[in-house]
Amino acid sequence: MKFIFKLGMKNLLRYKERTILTCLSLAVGICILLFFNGTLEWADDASIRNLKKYETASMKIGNAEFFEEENYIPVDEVIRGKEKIEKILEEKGMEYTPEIKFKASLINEITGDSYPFFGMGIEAKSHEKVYDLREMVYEGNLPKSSREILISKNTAELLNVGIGDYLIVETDTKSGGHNADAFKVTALFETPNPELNKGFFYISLGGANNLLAMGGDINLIAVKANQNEESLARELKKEIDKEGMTVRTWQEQAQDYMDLSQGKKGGSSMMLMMVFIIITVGIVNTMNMAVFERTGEIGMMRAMGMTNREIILNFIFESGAMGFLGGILGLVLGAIVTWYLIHFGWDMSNYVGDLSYGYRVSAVFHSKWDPGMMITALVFSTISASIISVFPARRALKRSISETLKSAGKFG
Amino acid sequence: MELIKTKDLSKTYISGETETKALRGVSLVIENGEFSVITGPSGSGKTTLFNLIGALDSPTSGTITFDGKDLSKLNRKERTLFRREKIGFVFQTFNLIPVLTAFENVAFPLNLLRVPEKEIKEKVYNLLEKVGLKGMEERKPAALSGGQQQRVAVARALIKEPVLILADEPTANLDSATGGEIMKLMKKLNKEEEITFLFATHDPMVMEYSRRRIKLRDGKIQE
Repeated sequence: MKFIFKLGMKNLLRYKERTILTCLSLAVGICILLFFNGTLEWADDASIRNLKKYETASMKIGNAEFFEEENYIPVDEVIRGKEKIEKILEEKGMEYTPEIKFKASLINEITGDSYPFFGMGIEAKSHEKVYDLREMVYEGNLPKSSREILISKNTAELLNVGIGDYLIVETDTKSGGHNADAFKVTALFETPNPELNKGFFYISLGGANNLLAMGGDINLIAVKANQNEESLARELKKEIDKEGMTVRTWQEQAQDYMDLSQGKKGGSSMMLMMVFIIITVGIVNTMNMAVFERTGEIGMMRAMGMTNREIILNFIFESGAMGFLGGILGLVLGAIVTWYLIHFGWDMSNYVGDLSYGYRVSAVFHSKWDPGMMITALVFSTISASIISVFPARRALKRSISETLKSAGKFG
Repeated sequence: MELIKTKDLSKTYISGETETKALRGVSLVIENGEFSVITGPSGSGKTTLFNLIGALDSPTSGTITFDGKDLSKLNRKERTLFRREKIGFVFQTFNLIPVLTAFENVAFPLNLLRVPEKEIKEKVYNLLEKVGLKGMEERKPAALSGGQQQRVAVARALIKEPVLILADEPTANLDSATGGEIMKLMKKLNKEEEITFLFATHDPMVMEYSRRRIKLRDGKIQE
């Protein structure tokens, strides 16, 4: 066994250029796999973080009817028994903040430009305890007075307004009427969550209450759970169910992201399949050449009493070592790419702008170390390469010994 | 003492609709310790007979016994192990493994037989010295002359102390002086080690060295 392994290693160095090229093709395949996997892993982590920090909190409590028709934002479906719910949340020691979510148009009163947005009526003090939006407000503060509006930098550019300018907010009231009012832009924000940047603005809870004629009602309570999110959500659900209210976890709120995240798992398998194809094409080609060139040598080894199993093993070692070396090289290349992305990122804003594609991440792509995938890639590369080599070797062994010796012009 | 005995040995190759009768009822006996040559023009069946004696192939009909054992009854694995233990091959173009050194090439059959490393070293160094390759153990085939490569090939065939060495045109790729040296070496080993040598050749020099000539023509013995 040891000498067969040694022979395999020596054969590996026989055609250095071919070995290097095959290893390089494997390495590039594995590097691409690690790049995509690392970026998607990062996008997953960052999306969850950015969802909870800026958009969904850990969970939200609302009227079941409201959630059922969430796409239309039925502002008349308000929270009933608000005080009781707040009491439950306080008893559990959970941070929460009231919200009024509504659909509105933002209108530049000078140019007349108008765009649809999601409006959020928030209570600045408690909002800061549940979300991290405050940290992303780079000029001014969260809206406190009823005539202040906080918009994203993107929105400011879109509507061509700046701090101190006024925007008209036009919306439907709780009773189904129309209302509009002017709000002064007092602050701008920019978060790593593109959904917020492109689609949300914030006014104070009082301002939203007046604008929508809510009569003191709210339609959401955002809750922050530091741990055991799922069990807390279940408990809360039970307790508030009697009031006709319900709890939506962040996963339930961000169904678009969850679908994409699930799809990612299939994507990783696809990428592994891609790498397998690269390995198959590269190794099969290389091993076919090796077997073809060594036909006479194989015949000689068989004549000398080397069994088919030993000959196949020889090719398995040679090919497996090629897969291993290609895998190691791929890990090195992948590690360099991953390290670079983790530290410097890849600014794709020119290509994707603020499009989120379901992921709540900025256009500067980063990556994440995934030792599990690195080991998988290396093992996969080595094992696939080993297995694949069996086929050309077996094909060569199907020929008779005298025929293989003859083809090399040696014996007879 | 009888080593190989063939009786009515026939071999027919079928390629598509074409039948080629390579051997037509060959019966012969090779004694232990012989230094014999099979001659005949191209297509006379020398190689086919070699392949059957060397258990590289099985006959279409007839029997072939080696030391009393019927080779035609062996399965593929048994034939492989038979060759591993009993037969040494010397090929026309040496057929050394280019990535291995002279030492490693000679050690190859012993590795197949799982001989301990220490014993391999001792045997290989001794034999390489015997065939005049002392000091060239670490050279790869490309760094050896044709004659030196054939010496390595002879040493490789001899190292496991086989019962029979089959040498096909062992001098064909060598100049006459080197060819003569190789033949002398094999003759010496035949005497000293009592190994049976069977050659297939057109080379008159090889025939001169041999004690017995077996002439083949159209798949039949013409002795």
